[in-house]
Amino acid sequence: MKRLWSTPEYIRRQRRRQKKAERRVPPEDRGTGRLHVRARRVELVAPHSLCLFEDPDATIAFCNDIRKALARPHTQVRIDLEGLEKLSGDGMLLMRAVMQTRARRCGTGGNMPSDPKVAAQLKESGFFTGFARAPKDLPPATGMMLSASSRRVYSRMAADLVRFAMRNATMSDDVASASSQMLVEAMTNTHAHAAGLDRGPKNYRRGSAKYVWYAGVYCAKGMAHFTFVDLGVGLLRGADARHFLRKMGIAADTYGRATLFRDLFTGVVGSATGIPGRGRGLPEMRMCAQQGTLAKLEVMTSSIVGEIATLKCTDISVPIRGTIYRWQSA
Amino acid sequence: MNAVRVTDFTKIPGPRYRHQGPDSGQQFREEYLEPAFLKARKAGEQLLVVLGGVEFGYPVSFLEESFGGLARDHGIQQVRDTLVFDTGSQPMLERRIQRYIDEAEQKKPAAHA
Repeated sequence: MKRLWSTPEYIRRQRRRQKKAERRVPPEDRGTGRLHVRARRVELVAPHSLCLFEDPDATIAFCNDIRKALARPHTQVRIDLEGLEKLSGDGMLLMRAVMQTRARRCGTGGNMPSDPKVAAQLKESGFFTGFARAPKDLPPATGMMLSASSRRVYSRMAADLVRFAMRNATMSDDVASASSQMLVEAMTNTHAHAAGLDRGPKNYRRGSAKYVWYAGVYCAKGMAHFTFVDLGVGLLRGADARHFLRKMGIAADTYGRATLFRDLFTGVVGSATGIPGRGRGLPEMRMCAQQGTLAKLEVMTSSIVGEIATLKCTDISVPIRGTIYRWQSA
Repeated sequence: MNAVRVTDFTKIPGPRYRHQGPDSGQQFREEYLEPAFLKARKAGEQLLVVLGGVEFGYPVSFLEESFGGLARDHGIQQVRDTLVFDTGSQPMLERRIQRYIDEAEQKKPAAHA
């Protein structure tokens, strides 16, 4: 039998739906009878320099703002890049990564830098790959940006990036191999931290957070600049480091972030997990950095930035959630 | 002498464990290396492992899981006695693998199925 709109069952259902819709309405619109969710509009102005390792504080603060704005559903973020004067491969990749990590029904848009050189750099960097409405006059790319789920390690994607770098920059076979292996190790670390791999089989199976990693290469003046961005918990707050500190019975602040950073790259932390064979990836990265196959390998995580070859690190005033590696081909 | 070629498995070696992604060290060990190793042990022969021909070398985790994992399962001495390496143009690779075999502990990892 056909149900009438006036049946009590339908009325009850309709009231339930109305109450649910009212709960979704922002506080300022409640009581006005407006039940639809209006997109929140946020405009963020980029700093003059978007170079992560050269101007970390301004770049991180700006990317943290984008991340924060996009964490709330129904938000449209307009990024004003007009005043941008300086741009680097790592800054672009981090911005791309935070723009992609967003809540439901969020969108991003923006303008191009007014400086033609910086605008050209942005266009050819591969930044706009995957955008629904990218600028129309994109030149041939000299950069490539890839991303995938933290739950998987894709050595073939690492190989694609390295092949792209070999086509667009001068690079020896040793450097190419070291870069590919570095990318695989970085993906493995992201996977381990994200999925709780080091916290035992129960925690792993339960599956914790799922992150997305981003890897990119930007070729300029015959040199390839690699960046790997993991927006997870970060190396110093990862499962390995926490397990190590718990075992020692010391809090991270007491132990010192610089000391923990050195212990990670000398293999002290990894081998403390008790899982046979573990803890070789980061020391291997350091060895490649010392040999020069991963030139100028630097890492930024939590509130420190460090040079891997020398294990020297400095504090940054604006902390970043995640880990970022950067190195170049010579 | 029997031989196992890594290039028959993959040209781009991947992560440590099978669940981490394709072309893993665990998969290589379980599907290629271990059966050939057991066959060679049964016949009392040595097993040649051909490592050359991969595109961008070997990630540490892949090597450690393949050869260190084999040593953890079957004993360091047996693995050292049985495996012979052809590293092609990378002579340092053999030393690295020997180190992973020597440092392999005689227990299986607690995590990961």
